[in-house]
Amino acid sequence: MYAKIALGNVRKSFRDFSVFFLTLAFGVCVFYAFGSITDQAAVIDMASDQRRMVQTLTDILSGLSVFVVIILGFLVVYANRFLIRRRKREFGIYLTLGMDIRHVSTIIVFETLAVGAVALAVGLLLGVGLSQVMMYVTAGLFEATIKGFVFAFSPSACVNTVACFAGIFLVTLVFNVTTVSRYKLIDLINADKVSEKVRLRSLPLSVALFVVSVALIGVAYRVLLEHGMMEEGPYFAIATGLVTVGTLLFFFSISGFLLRALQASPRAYLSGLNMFVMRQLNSRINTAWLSISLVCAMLFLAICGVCTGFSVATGMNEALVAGTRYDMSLVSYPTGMLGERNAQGPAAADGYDAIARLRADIPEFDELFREAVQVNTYDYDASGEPLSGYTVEWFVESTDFDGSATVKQMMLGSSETAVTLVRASEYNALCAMLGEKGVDLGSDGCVWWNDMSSLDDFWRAAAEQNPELEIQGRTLRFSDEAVVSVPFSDTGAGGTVSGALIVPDDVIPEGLGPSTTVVNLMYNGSREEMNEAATSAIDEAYGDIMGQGETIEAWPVWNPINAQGLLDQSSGTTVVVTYLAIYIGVVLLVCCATVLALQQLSEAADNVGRYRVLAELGAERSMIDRALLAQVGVYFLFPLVVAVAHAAVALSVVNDIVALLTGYQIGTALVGTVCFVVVLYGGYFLVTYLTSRSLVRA
Amino acid sequence: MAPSHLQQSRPAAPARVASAAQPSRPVLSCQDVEKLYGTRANVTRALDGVSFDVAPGEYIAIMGPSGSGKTTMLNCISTIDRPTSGHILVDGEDITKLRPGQLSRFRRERLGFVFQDSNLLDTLTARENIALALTINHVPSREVTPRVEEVAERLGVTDVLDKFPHQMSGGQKQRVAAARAIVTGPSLVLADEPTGALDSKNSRRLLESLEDLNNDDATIIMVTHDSFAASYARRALFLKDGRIFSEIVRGTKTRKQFFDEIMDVVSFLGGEGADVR
Repeated sequence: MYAKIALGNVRKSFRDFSVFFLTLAFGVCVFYAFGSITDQAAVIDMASDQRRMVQTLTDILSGLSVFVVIILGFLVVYANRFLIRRRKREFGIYLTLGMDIRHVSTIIVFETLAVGAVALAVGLLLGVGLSQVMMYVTAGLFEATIKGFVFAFSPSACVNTVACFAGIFLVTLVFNVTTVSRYKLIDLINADKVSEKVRLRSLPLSVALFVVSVALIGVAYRVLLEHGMMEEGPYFAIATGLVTVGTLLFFFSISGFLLRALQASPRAYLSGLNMFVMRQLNSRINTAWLSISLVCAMLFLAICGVCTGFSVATGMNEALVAGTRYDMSLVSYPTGMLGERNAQGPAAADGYDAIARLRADIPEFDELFREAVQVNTYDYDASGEPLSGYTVEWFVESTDFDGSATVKQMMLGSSETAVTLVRASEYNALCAMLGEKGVDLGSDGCVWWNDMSSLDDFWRAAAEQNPELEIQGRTLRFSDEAVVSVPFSDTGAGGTVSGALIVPDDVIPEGLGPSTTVVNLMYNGSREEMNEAATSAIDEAYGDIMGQGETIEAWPVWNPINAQGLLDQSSGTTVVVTYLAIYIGVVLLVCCATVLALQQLSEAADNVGRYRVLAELGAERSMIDRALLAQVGVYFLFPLVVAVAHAAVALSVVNDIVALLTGYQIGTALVGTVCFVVVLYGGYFLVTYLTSRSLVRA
Repeated sequence: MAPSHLQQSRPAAPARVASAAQPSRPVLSCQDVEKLYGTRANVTRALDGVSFDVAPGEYIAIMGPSGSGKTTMLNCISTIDRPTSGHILVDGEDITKLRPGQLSRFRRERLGFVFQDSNLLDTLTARENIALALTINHVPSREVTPRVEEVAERLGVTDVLDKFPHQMSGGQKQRVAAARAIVTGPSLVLADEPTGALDSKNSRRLLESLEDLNNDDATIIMVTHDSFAASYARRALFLKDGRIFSEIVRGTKTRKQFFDEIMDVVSFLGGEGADVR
């Protein structure tokens, strides 16, 4: 019989249950879809590098799942609480009819089970659909192919999902039963009559707190913008603490402040339903400020996460285009990587000619490679003294530069070592291989070599403010175009050389041992055809010395980098980062929007009586709709606006770091992220407003 | 055995009842109003051809046992409900023909409500509750405060103006509700069991306030089953089974005499105990 009552209840109040149902089904769907990535990838035809990436992704995702389950669990319990609260009176009636509290609990158990089971089934079905779509997207991102139509179902993800949600149900059940058994009959029967006691806070206090909160947030922004995230000291912690307290206070006091502000202008306050709206907001925010602050924090994380994720992924891709102009780069340290200044190694025996050594060791060198250019950087003279009397630190200190906190921090951290010198002829040979214009220094010119674009401005300023340098007894002047930026070697990061000084050849003594030697190579054919053969030839010749033992012995190859390998790896990284960003972003965003929607719906249900009074007083329907829109709008808009403001400041700092690493500006990703947020969040807002309106009109 | 004057004053329903002193145009004119509920198979006649007029400045009480149709009558006048047939004219305008858009305008411009539970908005102060009736009516903001204070003065609620409903007594709430009802200067003030939730002292206080308002020319229609409350009116209409059963005019009688006459009709109808039947 109790089962019958329970099912009847679900059928009759389907709309009340629908929020709970949708929340559950959504959770199940997303959880399954991301849990099944490994099995989706199994049917995609991809390289082994990419497979490793998928494995990494799966590992990270399974760690994240704990976090996601907690959030979803919270969401389900919250949605369920809304449902239980609305039905207090119904439970009261059961009890007056003589039912035991245990029987009422039984009914609730049946209801939760029924809704839960259907939601689980529907969610899984949707999840399978979503994972099918994701499979093709994954393949697209990996630039891999799926042969024909494949249906991927992941039993392990399915079992995981069912287990996790069974756990969540259990928590919900325990929660429901304990809540209901704690109710007193008198409270249940009077549930509809007892109007929420309006707690009031003194308005002057609200205004004072509001001013304090804005000040705190302002100070936090300032601290963060001035000091960035990487500077040592308590600055980042201070900024985080201030902004947290400031945000809490902000939501605590905003409604009181707005009320006060509007009251100051009778024209605005005594017009239409304005004072009703303000009082409504003020009465609710007393209880809602904490959850609004939480929502704001989650939105902030979602925006930052999605945005940083996308820009890191895109940035890496763009950096890679610039970083893979040579087919292969071979890096070695002829006098030792750690500045040992050892002139007795095998390189010295070869006269530091790496290309000649390669030709000698690899018989098919000229069939494999079309062109090769060797570039050396020099730090020390034959007696082990620095070649130039200038350190990078000196330039940082003597240059008046107005850059971001992160760039300054980065430059300050740079070494006290002397500025590296490069021969102009070697640089020009590199340019010739790439078909770029070289430099013409004459006998007393010099230029900065910098391939990290975010530092260009600094080096330009350094050249402008110190136009003449004394090096090896010669006076060198910076050319008009003081910074050049052809890449030093292939790299997956943003750049490899920053602040090396290109000087006339004869400034650097003949026969000196270089600190770093790079041989940049072009294949005799396309990368697809030649990469395999070229890498295995290098492996065969130097496999026993590369990357191991003393750097000085690894001549002429310590570290080989090939463009094709970098490109393969990065497509995997892009997928990993993109998926993580979307997963976290979507879960957090939907979570926020659902909490807000539930709050507003329950509020609209509680306020039906108030809106009826307005109608009886003769307020027009459009007037009431506007009042409702204003209330729902404020609840949705305020946390979003504050979160976007926080995110904009935080991201401007993150941006400096990302730009430094990849040369990519976050701004582009921000626009996309905001659009994504607005569409998803705006959709929830619209649905909430329309549902509230129909609640109030009925 | 019913008293003799009762038989004399009892008209044949549903004949039209004319007020004793009828001035030029009635504020409210109900003409043969019918209201049916239910399906074809099971029809309930809540109102069965009710007709009466209310002159400007009148104060009438509509009485009757439960199920007599008095609340339905009030709902039809207040446009909360729509009669099945017949006409209701307010200031000569037929409100049964108004479109939904015009209804809210009609309500806020011509009517003032006082309910049994004061129906004040609990998030607003007394001052704001009264002011809301004006702001909904698009009254210019500079006029709002003086008008609120003037009407609060009349109803003796000046000292609770800045309190919230939960900080006021039941009597104060009802008087604030009355202030809200008349602040817009409506053609008709409709009171639905206004003393229903009040103790006798507060009831008397509210009824005296309504009487004062009536003396200042407000037209009041009060639905009540309380004979004491009805005795403050100038005229009492009795409904039974959806028809007008009887009417008494106070005229020059004292309130005590009027109360006795009302009690006679009530006991003839079955007494106030009839409510519980």
